[in-house]
Amino acid sequence: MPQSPPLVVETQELTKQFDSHLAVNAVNLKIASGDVYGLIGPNGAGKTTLIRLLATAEEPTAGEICVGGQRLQRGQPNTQIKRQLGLLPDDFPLYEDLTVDGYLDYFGRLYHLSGQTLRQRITDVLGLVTLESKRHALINTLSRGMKQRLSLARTVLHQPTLLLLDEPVSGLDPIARIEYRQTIKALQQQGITILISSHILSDLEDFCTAIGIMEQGRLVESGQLKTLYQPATQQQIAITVIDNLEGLTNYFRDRNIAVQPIDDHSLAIQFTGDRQAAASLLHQLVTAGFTISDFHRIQETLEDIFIRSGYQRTA
Amino acid sequence: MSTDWINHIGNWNPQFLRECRGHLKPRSVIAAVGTSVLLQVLLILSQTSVYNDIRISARNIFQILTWTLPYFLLVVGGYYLVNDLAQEEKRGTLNFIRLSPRPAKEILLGKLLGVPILPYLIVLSAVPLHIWATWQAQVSILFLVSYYGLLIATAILCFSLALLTGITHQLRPKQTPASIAFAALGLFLFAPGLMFWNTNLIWHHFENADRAFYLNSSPISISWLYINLTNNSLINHGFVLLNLAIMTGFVWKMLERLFYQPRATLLSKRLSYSLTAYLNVLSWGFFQNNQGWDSITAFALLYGANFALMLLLISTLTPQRQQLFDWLSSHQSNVTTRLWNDKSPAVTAVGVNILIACALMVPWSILIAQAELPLAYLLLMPVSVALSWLTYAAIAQLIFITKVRTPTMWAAGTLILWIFVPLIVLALFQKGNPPAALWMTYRTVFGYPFYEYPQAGFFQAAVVGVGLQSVFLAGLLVLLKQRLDKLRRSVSDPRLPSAQ
Repeated sequence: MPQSPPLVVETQELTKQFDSHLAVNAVNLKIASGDVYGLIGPNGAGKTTLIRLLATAEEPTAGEICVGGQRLQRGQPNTQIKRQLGLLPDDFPLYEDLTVDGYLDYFGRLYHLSGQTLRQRITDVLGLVTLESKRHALINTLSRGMKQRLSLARTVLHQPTLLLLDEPVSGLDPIARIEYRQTIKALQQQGITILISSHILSDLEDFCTAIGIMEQGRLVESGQLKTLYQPATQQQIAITVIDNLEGLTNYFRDRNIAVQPIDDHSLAIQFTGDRQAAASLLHQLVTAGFTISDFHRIQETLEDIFIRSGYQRTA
Repeated sequence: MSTDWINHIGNWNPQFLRECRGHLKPRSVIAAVGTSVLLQVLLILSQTSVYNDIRISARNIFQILTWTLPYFLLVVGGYYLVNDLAQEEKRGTLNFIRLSPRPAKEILLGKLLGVPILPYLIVLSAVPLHIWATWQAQVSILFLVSYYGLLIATAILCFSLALLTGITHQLRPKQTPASIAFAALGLFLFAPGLMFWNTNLIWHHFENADRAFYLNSSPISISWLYINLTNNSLINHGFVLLNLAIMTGFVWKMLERLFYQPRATLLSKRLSYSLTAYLNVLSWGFFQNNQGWDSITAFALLYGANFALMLLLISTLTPQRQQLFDWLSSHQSNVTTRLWNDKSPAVTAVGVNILIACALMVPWSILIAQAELPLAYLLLMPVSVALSWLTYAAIAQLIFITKVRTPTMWAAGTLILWIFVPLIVLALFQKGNPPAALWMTYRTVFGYPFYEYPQAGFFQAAVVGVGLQSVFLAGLLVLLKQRLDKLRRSVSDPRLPSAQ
């Protein structure tokens, strides 16, 4: 049996209560090493509070947090844990009076980097976020997107084992978002474990390996992304024909297969078979005289999972 | 500056390097040092044009510099620090520093050394003129060693308190008023305190320094625990420096804790016990039979000091609603947590602090005042005072547990009314010569049994007063327990299971 990767984050009954409001409610979260864990949920679901708790920026009301196998101690500096963490909050305050290099130099030294190692790391992270040309620019001259990338550079400068990103692409234009996505993929390839919260589900789907859905402080769904998708028994195939959609509909009904119309030329059917079975079906349809212009499996999206999860809870 | 040197500073204390980079811009340095030099030139010209005698001019320059430097340094430096930290808190940048693995002590030291670096430079640029003027005025050069040593020690305490003010979460929305208020504290407390104490007790020892400070009368004679602080340079320097160091130590303990827990109470319970013991021993030492005060005055002064201390402790130890939530959800409500856990209600800890204060005050008052006051009075009085202070603590905790928008303001307002209205009533109605026993009861209920010398029949009246006090305090404590139980129920609502 293959050995599962070690856990970088493990929480037990983690709770944070602000007055009578339970922001995080008995959350048991597990994130394995190398995972990119997407945290989704409506506004006020407790995502930011959970991230702040993991980042040691907030003390839990109850429960335990382990990062890299070390338990977080209340009221203590937690120096060893802090060395492993990199937090990028949704707002990203910067020292506008410093240059990009001066800013990274300062934070690198705060994390005990020095000398040539520090210089090299600054060069590396500026390359990662494509800000090499702005190395000696004052921070107050940078655009919002650049500032956001600089914040990310600061967050990964000390090579954390766990990166906590809270809404990192909010407020970015589409091009900046694409660049940001690429940067996160590059970090993923470096083996950094990432916890990222975002409302842009298509972005998360692109690089996340695991997903957690939060609602009203609770972690209502959590697991590897591939296990959260609909099982094969509930998948569909979409078929588009040039003409004779009615004939195609009758073809399936005669064989007791449920049909779901999509538009004037397309329909969807429930399909439980594998790739070979799909190829066989396509061959049968062509042989039966249907002019097929498109034939594909309908892939469930993260949005579908999120909505399905919501419907299940409502039900 | 060579790169190696910068690297060395940066590796030692990154925060100090960051502050230097932020504050030591060429334009700012030129402006600061240039202004300082210009003012020094103007000072020299103003004095030499009036007096032909170089010695008289030098003495005037010496006096002016000696008096102005502490005021400038403590006022401007304090303002810079409070403002800088409050801005960092407001921007959110301080959170990133908090999340770094560097110890709080190192970060805050970097702030202390780096943020007021321009005022430091201005003072440093005046030192050569100060040395020259001291030498020309024939004042002992050792005076300067003492002067700058004591100035630095006072500045460290003052700036440590500025750091504390800056990171105090409750003051965050009042950033500018807090900076100005702290500058005023430097102007009216720290700088005058430094100059008054040291000119009278320490610096008059140095050759010609007394004339420089216009000390026409003989210096004040002060003793602490029968140790004369005025006559011996080594003792008075040691006493002042030791106490400044102890006070600075207390402030840094608070700073280190608050840096990581900005929403915590200002003072930890553990630290409050040692602070009360230290301040009581310190103030008690000054009342030992040598200041020309009679025993009742000395006793009243010590009581006054403790009254102020208890109000300070109540305001800095009482946890707010959110902290009580955290305490109730993760701790058992028992004596141990009430004594040591900083999120538990403050009434028990205030009680312990009162006991610590009484441990010194009560035996001493019995010893010194037994001839002047009846023993029963000397025993009943601390009971009445302790119960009234516990009542303040219970009232404050009840307000902090209640869901109100500005609990600090409500608590302060209620306590001010509770403390001062009885005194006003007492002052207004006592002229009508009401029955003495009735007034004794009234005074005891509100914790002012010593307001006037006790008259005949006071004992029974005072006992009734203490009884009423106890009933009222017990009522408050029952109410507090009910509120805590209610809060606990809201914490322990069954939580819904989550995934995994």
